[in-house]
Amino acid sequence: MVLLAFELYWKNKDSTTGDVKSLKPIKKIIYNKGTWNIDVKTIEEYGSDISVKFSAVQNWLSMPLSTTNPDELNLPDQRTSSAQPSPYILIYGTLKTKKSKESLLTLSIGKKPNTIEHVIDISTKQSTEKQSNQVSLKLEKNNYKINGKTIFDLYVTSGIISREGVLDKSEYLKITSKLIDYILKRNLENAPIGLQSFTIYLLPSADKISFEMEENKT
Amino acid sequence: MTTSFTDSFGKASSKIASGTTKTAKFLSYDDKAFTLNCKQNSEFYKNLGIGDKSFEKIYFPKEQTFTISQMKWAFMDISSSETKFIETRRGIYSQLYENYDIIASQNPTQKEKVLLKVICYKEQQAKQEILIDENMTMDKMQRLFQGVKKEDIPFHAFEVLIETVGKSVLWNNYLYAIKNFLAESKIPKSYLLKIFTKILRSKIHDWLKIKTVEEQSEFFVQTEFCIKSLSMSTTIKSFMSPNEEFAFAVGQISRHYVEFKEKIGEKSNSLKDILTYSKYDREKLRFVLQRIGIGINLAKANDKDISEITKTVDKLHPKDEISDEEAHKDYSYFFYKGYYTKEIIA
Repeated sequence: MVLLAFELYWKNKDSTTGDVKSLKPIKKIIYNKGTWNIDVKTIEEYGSDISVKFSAVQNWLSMPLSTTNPDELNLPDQRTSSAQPSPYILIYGTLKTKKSKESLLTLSIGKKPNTIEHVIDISTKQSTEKQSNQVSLKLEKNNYKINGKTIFDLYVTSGIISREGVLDKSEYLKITSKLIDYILKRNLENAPIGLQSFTIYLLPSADKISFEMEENKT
Repeated sequence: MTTSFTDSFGKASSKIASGTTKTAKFLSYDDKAFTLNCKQNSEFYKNLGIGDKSFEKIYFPKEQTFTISQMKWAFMDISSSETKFIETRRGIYSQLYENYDIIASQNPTQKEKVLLKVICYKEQQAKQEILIDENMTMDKMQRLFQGVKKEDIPFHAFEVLIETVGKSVLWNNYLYAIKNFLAESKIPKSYLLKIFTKILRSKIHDWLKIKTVEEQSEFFVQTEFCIKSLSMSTTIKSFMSPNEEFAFAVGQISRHYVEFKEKIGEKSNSLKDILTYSKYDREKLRFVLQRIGIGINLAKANDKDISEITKTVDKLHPKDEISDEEAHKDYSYFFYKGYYTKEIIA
């Protein structure tokens, strides 16, 4: 056990890739002065690899991989279990390509059955929307900070969620409208048959995010 | 004031590690059943001498961790952080072969330094069970894959050893085979045949009902490859002994006979009885030939069809009988292999 731990350490000691739970492409949408903007930094600027598995979606939406150097990616995530709340608001993207080469993109937020889901037919550029009455997000509230303020508080300030973690639908729909415009302006090439998943991070600022474990208060 | 120390991995750290690893969950820091001297949390890491800086680097590199038949496999070239392996999605044998190919092409001059680490683990809830942890030298890989052509490796070659019983998946034979393969230890052919015969028996009744033969042919291609690479050599031409060839030929004859009877409209419920015996030893195989002979003689077919099937049977009929010493062995695997490997007779 210790030997294997050492071998893993030895293998990773000079590596710049982060310790991530899953390999997936990532896109950021960042809040700045009242508007949400799609991150335009290229894969090369992030210094990310292009995975054989995800190359089509990575190139399509200019997405680095989750294994990109953590300093460049600036998305610390110290969760050790998927049951722990996420520090970030996430939109889950899935591109499904059929044998007929038709591609459908699904963007969803929230946990079923309380979700907002957009399905976009890439060839016809038609989009359909399904939404639940209320989408509550289970978010981490204390340990992830930007310039001393918790990310959760910054989300609340931006207006995307309430203090109770309820998503502001109109604000979210403005973001997805912008996102869908961005997606449809880009050409999807050589999409492999099957599913390709990626994650879109909504961030309240582009500044450095730090993980600061809050001591247990007694 | 923070004091710095060098931990057991040789890394300067400011404090002993604490908490759980993110992806290397085999380090059970909080479960007394697995920790040294029942120590938990930072006391556990103190026992191992792991500092916080080393701890950050104990993880499975995600881009080099692939899922093969529900198992996680991590591949690492210990000699170089530059080596990147590509997921083949064609099973563990293909993946190992591809890894070897990549290493061989990238390190033509430093072969002696190469060390491919192969780790297989199973995730159960929050824990990981390490099932295989093997270091492969270049020499070893060279010996393992000598003479093997990429195009000859069947899809999911070793995965045919994974058994499914109801909802349970049995990994024992699969992992046993891979461990032996990586250790260059041969597995007795009789042991593999027993496994394949058992799998065959569980499938044969369904197979006989379907008209397509792709699944069956694939099974025999995969199992033959397994027998060759795990018990003999992948470059060996024929892996069948003369006795096994006898059973194989009877299987081929049976296939022609069944098709002949179907063609002439004599497809009865008992036609496929010859295909469902519980054991194909010498006596049973002789009996199958006898029944086929009678069946042809009594067939109400035109002379041309009778002559064709007679010629085919004569051509395929084995010259040598099964020896007395091995008369009671079960040759089911070879009988069915013959049945699903129909020879085209010119």
